[in-house]
Amino acid sequence: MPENTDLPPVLQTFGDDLAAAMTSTTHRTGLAPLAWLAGLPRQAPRRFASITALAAALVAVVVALSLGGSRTVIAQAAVLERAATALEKPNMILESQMRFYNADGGGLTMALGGNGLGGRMCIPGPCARQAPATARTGISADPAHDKLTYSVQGWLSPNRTQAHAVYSNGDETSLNRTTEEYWAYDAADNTLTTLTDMDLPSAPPPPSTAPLSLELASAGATFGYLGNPSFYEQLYKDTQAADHTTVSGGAMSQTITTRLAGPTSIAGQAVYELRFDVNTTIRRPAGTNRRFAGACTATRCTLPESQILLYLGRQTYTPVRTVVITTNPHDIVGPPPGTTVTAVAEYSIHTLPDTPANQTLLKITPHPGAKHTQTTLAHYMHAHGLHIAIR
Amino acid sequence: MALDPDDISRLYRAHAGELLRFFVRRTLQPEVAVDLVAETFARAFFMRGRYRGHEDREALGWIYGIARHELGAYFRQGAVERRAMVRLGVQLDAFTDADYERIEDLAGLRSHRLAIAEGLAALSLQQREALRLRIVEERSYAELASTLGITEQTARARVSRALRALSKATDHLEGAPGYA
Repeated sequence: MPENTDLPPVLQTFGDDLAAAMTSTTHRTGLAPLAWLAGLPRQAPRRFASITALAAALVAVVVALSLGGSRTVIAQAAVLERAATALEKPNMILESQMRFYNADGGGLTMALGGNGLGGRMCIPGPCARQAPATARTGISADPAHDKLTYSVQGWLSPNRTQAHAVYSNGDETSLNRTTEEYWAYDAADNTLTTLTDMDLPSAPPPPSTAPLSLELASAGATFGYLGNPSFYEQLYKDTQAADHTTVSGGAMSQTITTRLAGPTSIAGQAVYELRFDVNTTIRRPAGTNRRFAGACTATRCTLPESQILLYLGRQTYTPVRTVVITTNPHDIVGPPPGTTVTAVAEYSIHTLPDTPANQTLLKITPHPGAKHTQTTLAHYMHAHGLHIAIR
Repeated sequence: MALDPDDISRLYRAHAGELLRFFVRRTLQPEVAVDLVAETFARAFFMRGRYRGHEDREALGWIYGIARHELGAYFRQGAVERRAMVRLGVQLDAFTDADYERIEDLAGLRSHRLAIAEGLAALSLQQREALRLRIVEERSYAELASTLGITEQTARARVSRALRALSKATDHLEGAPGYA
């Protein structure tokens, strides 16, 4: 296909911006390229649960990648013994609350590699994404100084076959692995969608004390990690020794450096600070020839760097906060120029007794009067022009 | 077969120019046309998963489908939809003189302008004045009639005849109605 060199300058520049943005969109959201590198399956069995935990997923994926490969699995007895911690009691319903502050207004479901659906990134159902307000300036590392982008409250059954999430905009999702059903409530138009034949495994991958498999790094498994302090305790131990992991896949190469920054406190709570530096280069996109010359060699471009800070409670090893700091020295389209905080997430995790009253929390809330549609996952995807976009 | 971001970038490099021409000749507004080109490709990026073709010509047809949709939306709403651009986090730089000049060259607007000027020159003074009041100043036919001291029916006929003559004078131009 011939190269068009006759474009007016404004469209030449836009072409560069477009090429860079198309690449950095997946980079910004963090999960998608990592998921691709991880060789996640093209099917979407874990998509549902990931909706509730993507910020944590981002960390977990990075972490799993950083621990993966050649490192020896260290299933320490001490870690297993800590299973006595309150959050790992058997037969308890996991309740989590997550609050997200994002410079670009969201990107939650985009991280799943989804397609636009009527201008909203939904796969299918909740659309927590909001209009970007501070995309060019970043946000504060302290959530108290920023406007909440959205929040999610989620519940997971003891056997991890049922999950339910409620978003701050009123949207909801719920899943039952046993019946292979998924529900999505769209509060904006009072519509409840039921998808059947979800083709799900009967149970999600079990939470692991040694989450070294990249498969386990998928977002669905991460939901389990939230209630699994052993995962994070192992992580804490592994970051005590700085480590580098280079991952290459297709057009992308990624180096992740992990380290333990030390003890600190958040709002009076004693926490450990873990740091993950993510450096990514990609094959130079076609047509990138002007604006990003500083970021590119003849063959490769360096994407904005990310530093992810993960704060774990010192008593429970559960996540308290994640902060994503992006460094964009070449002002590549998307992330704010310079070094800025682009995302902050706060977590609050509890367990509830598995009582009939609490079991209702695992199901989608009744919405009398809602318009209800029911179809199979395959029909839904076809009707909406969707396909599994992890490729 | 879905398109990947590199495909969209490649299609942009190869076909943004002709798409710009497509839009300029239909809107006659360089800024609007550039916005439409940008939004078309930004939208193509988000919709790339829906593409089912295999060859470049099919991809180009698919791009033009999006372009026509964008153009229709522009004519309906009187403004260019920028949602996909915003979602992608890209925006257009400010226009410069070089942009206007390049777009005029690319879309052949200079030859159009010349042909229109020649066509106007061939009109009678009365027709040209009627056309100026109606098209340039956007006066109503009642105002035209009052200003020119003629009936409204005569004003309509005069403008109509002037437009027909002008159309005939510009028939040979690429992009004009009937041009093959």
